[in-house]
Amino acid sequence: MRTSALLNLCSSIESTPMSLFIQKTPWVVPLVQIIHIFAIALILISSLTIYSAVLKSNNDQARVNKTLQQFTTFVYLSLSILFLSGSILIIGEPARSLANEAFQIKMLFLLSALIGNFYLLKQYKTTQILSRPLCYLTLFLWLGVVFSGRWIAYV
Amino acid sequence: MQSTLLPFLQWLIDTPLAIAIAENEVLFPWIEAFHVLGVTLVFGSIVLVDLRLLNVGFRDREINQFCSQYLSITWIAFLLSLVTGGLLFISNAISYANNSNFLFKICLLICAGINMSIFQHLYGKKLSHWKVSNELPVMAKVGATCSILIWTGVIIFGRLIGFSLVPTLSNS
Repeated sequence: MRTSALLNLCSSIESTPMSLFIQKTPWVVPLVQIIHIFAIALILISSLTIYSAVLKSNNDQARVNKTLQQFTTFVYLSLSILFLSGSILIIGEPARSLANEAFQIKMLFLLSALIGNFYLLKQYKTTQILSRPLCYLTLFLWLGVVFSGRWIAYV
Repeated sequence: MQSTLLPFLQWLIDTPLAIAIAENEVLFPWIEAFHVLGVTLVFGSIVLVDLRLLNVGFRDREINQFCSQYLSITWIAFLLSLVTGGLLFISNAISYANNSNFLFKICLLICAGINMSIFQHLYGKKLSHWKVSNELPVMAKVGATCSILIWTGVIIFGRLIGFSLVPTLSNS
């Protein structure tokens, strides 16, 4: 999706002082991208640990609850870092991100993964019927986030 | 070093697989995407184990149980990174071999391997005896700290390769 309104938005972001600073400072984008990758690593391993605990739970709900409690904190921490670093990258290169189809697909995957994660955590505490399929679905969505994220450079 | 390696690197670039990766519009990005997935999982799993060894987090978990929980993820992800990294390398071998960030990354990977071997040799068999991190010898904690620093460096130099090398299809 590359509407004229979106391209206008990109142009207006590009001319903001913060965007100009990022564009003129060569170390900002590499540094923020590296921080972004660290956050991706943290969210991936935390999510994988949660799904693994749920899938191997064998009705040991106490153990799973402990894992959920510990790793949900990491998920929220890494999400905050991803949001901040991602915002800086968007401000620095708005056309490369906002108007990029791979980026738009990444955002769809991210939103779906977050909804899946939220629903999984909420649902596990009550019925647990859909926990397993939700784990597989959300894991697939996180893979989509990683893959579409890497594709931004090529679209 | 370059003059002796050059024929080999050129041979790698000329292999049908390397040509296919370099010339195909979707192959290189897909391999790179899997490489990123592998590297982030290796980094994430190793850092979690190191943090447990350093007693920074997960203090209620037994060290041995916690380490073995991530062992399979680490090895599968490492294998994925190794294979995909090798495929990326052969597609543009001479440029990679001349890239200082790539060489730093490889040096750090060797350091990570040495660090892990020393840890396994000295403490691998004793790991099951340590229930809590306070019982860990100082050198084991030094090893865990080195591991975090080395793998952080691997990620940093790995990302910097993209800014210092002209890849097959894109400028980033």
